[in-house]
Amino acid sequence: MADRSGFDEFVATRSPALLRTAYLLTGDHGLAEDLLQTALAKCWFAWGRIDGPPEPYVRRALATTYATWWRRRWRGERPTGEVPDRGDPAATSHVDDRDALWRALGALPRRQRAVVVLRYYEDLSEAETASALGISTGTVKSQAAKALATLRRDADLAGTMGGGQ
Amino acid sequence: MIENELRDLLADRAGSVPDNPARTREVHARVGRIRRRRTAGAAFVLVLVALAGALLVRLPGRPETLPAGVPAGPYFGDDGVSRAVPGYRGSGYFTFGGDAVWSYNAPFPMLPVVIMVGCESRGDLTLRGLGDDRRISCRVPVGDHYEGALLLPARFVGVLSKADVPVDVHVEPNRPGRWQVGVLQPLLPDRLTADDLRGVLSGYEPGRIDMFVPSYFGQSRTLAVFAECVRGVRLEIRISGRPAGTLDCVDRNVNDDGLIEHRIGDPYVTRLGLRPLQHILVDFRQVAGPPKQWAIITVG
Repeated sequence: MADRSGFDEFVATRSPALLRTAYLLTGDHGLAEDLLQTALAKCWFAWGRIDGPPEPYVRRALATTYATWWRRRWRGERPTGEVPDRGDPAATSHVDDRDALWRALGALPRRQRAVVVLRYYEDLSEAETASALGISTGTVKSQAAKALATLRRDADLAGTMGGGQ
Repeated sequence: MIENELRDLLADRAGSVPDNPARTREVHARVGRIRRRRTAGAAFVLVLVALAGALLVRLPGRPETLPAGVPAGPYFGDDGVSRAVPGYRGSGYFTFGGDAVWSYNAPFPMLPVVIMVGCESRGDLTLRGLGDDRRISCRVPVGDHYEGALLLPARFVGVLSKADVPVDVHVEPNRPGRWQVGVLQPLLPDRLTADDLRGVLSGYEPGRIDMFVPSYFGQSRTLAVFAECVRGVRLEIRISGRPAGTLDCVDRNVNDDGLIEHRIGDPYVTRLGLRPLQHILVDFRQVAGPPKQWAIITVG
């Protein structure tokens, strides 16, 4: 019988922080909770075998689950026959810089978004990010560079952030 | 610097997330559901694992060649960095010395995977946890190191994937030094079943997408189509009855998420006069490739 003492305490104390990471990955509160619970449930099975602090292991499970999630349960945006709430096209020209960056971030491919969140929110090193996502360090570098280039290319950002700093 | 803007934005957005006090109970409920599924499927899994074990390709008599059916290396450069293998994507990289546990997330069910190994000196790596114990011979000389590989058929990977939890694979090298493992998956699957194709449209459930051009369309003036398909499928696209190009299921169109990403831009955008929030009807008609082997995941 695996020793799972400490699992509940870990969920109670550390999962709020992990939820924030999940939210930055998914951009949706409901999906973030679902992603976090999926990752935690996976980790429950491995709990007795985790060497050292469990948080890096859980974080890795969160990131890799997110990166592969769409294949198992696609819940993304679907075309709709109803006019979206944001009905005034002119309104899009007045959103602030943060909204533009957030929207551009949400349009990144999943792996690039995961790299951005781990590098710039979690402050993980390239090697730690590579380990968390199960990809090579070279891939982390290339994905981060692609993501930043995409964000810089965004027309809104080019106009408000120095045009490609 | 955009990096600083990103840090500020991510910190701000993360601070707005409400917590869920029922999470512990809900996680335990999920664990219970997974355990029940695993118990019910255990006998089925054992039978399939035994069958798959007989299918695994290994050539113990030719230790200095890669097994049949796996793509040629090199998989790792002399600097230890993984190398691109045409037609495949790499993931699950793990570096270790001595016995270790590799937590492996099985990919999409219909894809065979190649477990690739790199080592500093000739040796064998035993994997425990993938059905029967597997031994990978790491003896193909590549630069200043050696490599080897093992092919896992798609059916076997599908069994692992159904477990919906990472597989703890115990890796046991018989030589000291630094070892590496990683996984190669084909960029495109060989076959897709109706269950695999979960999109807004598919070859199994064709139809029409009735939608509005997104409000953010003005920034890029392109409509992105994300699809899943087997190699060779070609879809003709029409928007509100007028031609809007073709989507090709080829390696170069696979994006970082493993999806085909096709962008409808000019000259079609100009010809069609697309503008944000315009009501459009999007049709896809297959004109080449194996029938029914495609799905449109989203358009936006």
